Amino acid sequence: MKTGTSALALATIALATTVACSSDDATKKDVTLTIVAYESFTPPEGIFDAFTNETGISVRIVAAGDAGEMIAKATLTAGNPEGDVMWGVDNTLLSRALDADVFDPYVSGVDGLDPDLVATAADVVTPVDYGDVCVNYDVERLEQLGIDPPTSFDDLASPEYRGLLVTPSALTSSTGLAFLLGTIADDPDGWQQTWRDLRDNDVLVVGGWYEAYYTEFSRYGGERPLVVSYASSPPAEILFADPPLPDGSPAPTAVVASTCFRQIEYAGVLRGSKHVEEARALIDYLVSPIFQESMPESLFVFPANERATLSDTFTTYVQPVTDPLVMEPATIAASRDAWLEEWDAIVG
Amino acid sequence: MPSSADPATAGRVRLFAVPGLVMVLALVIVPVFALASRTIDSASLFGVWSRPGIVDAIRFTVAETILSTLVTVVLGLAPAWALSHHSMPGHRFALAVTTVPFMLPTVVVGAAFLGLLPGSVERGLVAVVVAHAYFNVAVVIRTVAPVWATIDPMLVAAARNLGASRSRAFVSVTLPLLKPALLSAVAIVGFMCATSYGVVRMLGGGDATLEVEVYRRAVLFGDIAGASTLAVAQLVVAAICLFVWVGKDRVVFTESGHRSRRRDHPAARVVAVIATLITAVPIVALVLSSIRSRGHWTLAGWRLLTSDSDVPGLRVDLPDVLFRSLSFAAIAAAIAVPIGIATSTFAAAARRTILDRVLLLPLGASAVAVGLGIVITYDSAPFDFRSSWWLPPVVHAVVALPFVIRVIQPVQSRIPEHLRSAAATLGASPLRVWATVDVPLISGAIRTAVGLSLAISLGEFGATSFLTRNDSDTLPITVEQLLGRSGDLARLAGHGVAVVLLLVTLVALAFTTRSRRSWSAS
Repeated sequence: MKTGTSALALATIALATTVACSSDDATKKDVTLTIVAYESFTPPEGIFDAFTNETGISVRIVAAGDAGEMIAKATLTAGNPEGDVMWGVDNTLLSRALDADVFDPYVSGVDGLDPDLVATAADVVTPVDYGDVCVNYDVERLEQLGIDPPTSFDDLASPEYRGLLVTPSALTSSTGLAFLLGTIADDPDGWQQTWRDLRDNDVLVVGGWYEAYYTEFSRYGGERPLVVSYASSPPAEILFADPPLPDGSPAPTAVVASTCFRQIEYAGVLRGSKHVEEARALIDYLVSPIFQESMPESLFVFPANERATLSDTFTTYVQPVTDPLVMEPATIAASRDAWLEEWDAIVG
Repeated sequence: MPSSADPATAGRVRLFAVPGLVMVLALVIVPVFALASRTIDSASLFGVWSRPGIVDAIRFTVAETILSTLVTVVLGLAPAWALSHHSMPGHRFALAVTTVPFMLPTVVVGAAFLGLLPGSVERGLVAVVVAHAYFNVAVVIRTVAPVWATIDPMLVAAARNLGASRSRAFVSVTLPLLKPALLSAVAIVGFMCATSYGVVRMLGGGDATLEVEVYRRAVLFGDIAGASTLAVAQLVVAAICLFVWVGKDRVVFTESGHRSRRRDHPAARVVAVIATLITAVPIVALVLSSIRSRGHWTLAGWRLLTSDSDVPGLRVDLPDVLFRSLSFAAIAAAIAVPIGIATSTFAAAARRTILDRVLLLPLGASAVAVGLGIVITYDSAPFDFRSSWWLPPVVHAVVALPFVIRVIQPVQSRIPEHLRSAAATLGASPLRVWATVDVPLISGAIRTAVGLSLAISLGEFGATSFLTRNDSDTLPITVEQLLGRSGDLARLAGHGVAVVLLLVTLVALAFTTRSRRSWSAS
């Protein structure tokens, strides 16, 4: 009915563009691969030049919203994807992509890939990086209050830390979801009680990470010295400090290591890509040391390839989280929705 | 055109309705129903309603929509009156400033707004209503003030001479004349509040609108079937509201052509200044947060934006982003304004308001469902438009279209019919009547419409962020990206880009805003 007509009208509008592009493509033999990535994927300029020089394959990046939005669209377009390679599906979302058969299975065999990370990838995708979501604290403010930094979830629920914590909602923020998963990984049977205690201890739940960090966190003028953020936030507080901090001064914020939940990101070949071989080569490149070494400073994540060397600026400030809370994508898949509804009933 | 117009003319005028209809069908209605037909099954059709939170969301949506709309329209009347009854220097500036909150992405002004709310205001219904009023008052000003300026002051004076009190003169003379514009404002504000996402997510506390639930189901729960069910229900309810509304909204045709020049009302100046100041406070807070850090003044954020210095992780190509945003805005305005004029011309000629009601539907649709729907509707050659560079500005045009129509149509519908008849009697063709009678009289409204489309496109975030974009970061998306990272520099630079967005929006609005004098002239 109307679909045809309206699509036709739109097609006419687009015709000029389409024609121009296709004739352009026809004259070149080289392949252009499209990476579908989340919004904040900003690798350094020219990072794909080495890949293009070696293989003749060009690379373009399209942004598909945040990771959750990207997966929602990928599940709808499974088999007829918006690109050839997807960057950035993480362990909290991977199962959804697997259920919808989004990927053409490929695990890169590049040397140096952390086998523990590869083991989480269900033989379908390749781990590319990892980072942690942790409770951060404002060092100076806690000193002023005469309170020691908390060391556990139980501390956060104790009277000493009453009214000090702010977190993004697990229902509207992936950071908030990761924190919730951390409490579950920490105490699979008693996490509901943890959250009841947190609620009774006046935890503030806000919509997104931005409100939590930039309006409620005491380092940015808010009232609360404890905030759910990233393990990479403290180094950013030094590197991006303005006015700059004196050399050698300690970070103004730090993480509560026992609350850190590991987020692993993966890249995969999208099923339906017309360039599967080339896409696999690109995945290999994404986990090669040359690309992996560029990531820590531009994306503030750790490389999945253990052979990638980290720059001094990064290693000076970043204390790696040695024993993070982890959860298998399959476990998350099995219960995520039920957990969210339970959590909503406790906190909402 | 009079109803006695010959059938051929009527047929031609009907063509004027086509482009607007096609756009809304192609980019809103078809995608939402395509998404629904692809995903909905009987389980989600009935099952989603028993999900926890859905009933609460419906209740909250209805409550906040009614309250927000009432508060916004009532609060908006004072500045609308003031800005249509004075012409002091800075008039255009005042109009532009009071419009800005509506144009800027929620996260930007919302955060500044959040910081200014008294601590006693809890997140929840009250905070949401106050924020909606702040963001949407511009709609009332923009739709009501142009009509208010054309009301002959002699009418009110006559009523007063006949013994009517000030309030009675307002209720029995002014209000009926304002009614079409007011109803327009109610419709737009109502839709904006009913489908509110950013404000509710930020200030709603535990409460959510249906729109937020659609997002949660699709993105967080991965329940796209449930999300589509909700989105279709939302669209159907919106359509029903529009249908009912048509009966209520009788366009008032006034024959008052000539007006004497009025004196500026002294109180108008005061109200205009107060309204501007109140609106400006969060905006000033925003500007400050791009140059204040830890109790110091700093230009570090601006240096990052204006130099080539490449701070890892904070790479911004501001000229590139600015150029893209401006190009998108120009394209969106170039599409929305002509289509809006055509639609208004049709509505004025046919004296039917059903069409422009239909064109309001995009405001009642879920941005999430539209975004997902476009992805699956235009997904195969030769209609594979996903990640086409032109898709964002075209979607901006669809978002801007209802506003363009709302601005142009009330003014156009007030053009005295005898002017057109006179021109026709003197032998002018319908097109010539339109070009020589309608266009000059609505030129001021057209300028306003251009300004609004530019500003809406510049600030559009919701729909754009859901489209897959090929190397096409706009100003608001760059703001989100920077403000998604930790650290002083990220925060300063993010707010810096927001200030750039603020400035170009102000310029677009100020350059295209009519002074009161030209309002009166129409």
